[in-house]
Amino acid sequence: MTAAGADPDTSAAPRPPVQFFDQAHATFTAATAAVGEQRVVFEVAGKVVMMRFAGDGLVGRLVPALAHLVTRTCDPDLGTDLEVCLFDTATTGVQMPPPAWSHDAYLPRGEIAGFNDDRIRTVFEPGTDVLQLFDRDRNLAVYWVADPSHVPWWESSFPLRTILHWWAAHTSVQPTHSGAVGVGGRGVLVAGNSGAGKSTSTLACLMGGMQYVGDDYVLIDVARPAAHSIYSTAKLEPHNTARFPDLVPLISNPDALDRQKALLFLADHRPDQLVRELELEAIVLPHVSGLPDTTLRPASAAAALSVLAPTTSFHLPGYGPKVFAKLTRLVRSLPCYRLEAGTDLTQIPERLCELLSGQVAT
Amino acid sequence: MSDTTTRFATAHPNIVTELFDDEMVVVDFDTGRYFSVDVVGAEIFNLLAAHHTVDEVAASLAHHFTDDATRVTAVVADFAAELTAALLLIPEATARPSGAAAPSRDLPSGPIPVPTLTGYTDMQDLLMLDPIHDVADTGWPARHEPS
Repeated sequence: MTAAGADPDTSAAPRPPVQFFDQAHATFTAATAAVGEQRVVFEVAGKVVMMRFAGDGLVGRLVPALAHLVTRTCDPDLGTDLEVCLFDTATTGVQMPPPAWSHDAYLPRGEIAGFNDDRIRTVFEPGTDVLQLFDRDRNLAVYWVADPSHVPWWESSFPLRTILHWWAAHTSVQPTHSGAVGVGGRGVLVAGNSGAGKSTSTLACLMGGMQYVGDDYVLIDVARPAAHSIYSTAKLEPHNTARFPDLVPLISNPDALDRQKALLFLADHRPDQLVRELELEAIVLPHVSGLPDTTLRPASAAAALSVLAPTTSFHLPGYGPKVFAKLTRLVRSLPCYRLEAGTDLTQIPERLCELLSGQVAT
Repeated sequence: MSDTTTRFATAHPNIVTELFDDEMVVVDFDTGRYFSVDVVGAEIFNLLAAHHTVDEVAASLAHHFTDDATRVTAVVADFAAELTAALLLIPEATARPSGAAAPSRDLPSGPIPVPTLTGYTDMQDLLMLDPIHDVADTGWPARHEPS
């Protein structure tokens, strides 16, 4: 596969995607030689992921959200299921070679025309300025940014979501834009578009003592089905923080709420409630009712798919039809409910606990 | 009424559908739009996408409803036009169906309901292309937005 429209003044001939990947990986290796390497290993959905950082410029931006999954062992001979090589230019002094494509090869969501095929995935999304590449044959990824300060705040709340999405593409597992809460290892998937009340509902359940897997992205295994925790973060619209006064002291970015959502790292504060996995019993679709009381009523699988599939597949580049197929399988395997979320937040965990204990008709 | 002998095909391979008991979900991965189609609309959509003409689809549906053939044909033709305008179907003169047109399920009796296609565009912004205006000396797009 050749690059789409390489710049005429580039000295090298058009390079296929695997060659550019290898060049990027070699550049990472040069960066580790320059400044040393730090490894962080975490487990998710029974798999081992190794993050190899050249220097420490990106560690503070990308590890905190994953900290609850980090294992204590870091055996260099440890077999891994995915290896992610991360570096930046500002702290390592090593520059990523120029892109092997012209500036008109950039597609929506940063996909690069001619550099995404069955083996190699490549995105560089303007706005995040992060280059991400993945080689399916080697389960190997590269993550580069010119300067760690360029990593946007939202990327810190769900690091590596694109790479995890590519890695899981041909499995029954899918990073999904949803939350999950539960009791005794059994839970519900909380799915909703922005503004539907997904984060409010999951955080109300956290405050109600329920087990918590995530509020924005969880890793779903549609074959079981189960929700696996990826990120320990929670995000709230600034105007909504007043509804959770006990969480306000936990906000990690209080000085940035004029331009960012409130970001909380729950592993630091609610480690006992943060669980790695929940067996899924149902899907709930929150809706802000404006009424005092919270109620549940059956919803169609079609309604659940209409909520889950677009928001997940359009945020994550590539494999749209595969995402759709996985989520179709999920919504057909679980009962679905519309959660009419009332203003009395204590009733949200009450209704979901009733659902999980079988007190709500399917 | 537009030509009722035209054959159609799905506009491109990145349009996927899933039919449930009460509606069909349609997602267009190229444009970021998604749709809900009611039961009768889903039958019409699927038969047209399988390369049947409006006349063939109308003939397969006619005995389910109490309307005369002209009314059924008009409803199917109007919905075909709506699906085409929504960029979900395109005329495809060379396509041929693999079998006779037949609904996949029992349909409600009585007058033929006007099929509904409900479109959602709230995800489209995610697929808006941000053109690259400036390239830095490194060859990478020049940074515009602070983090």
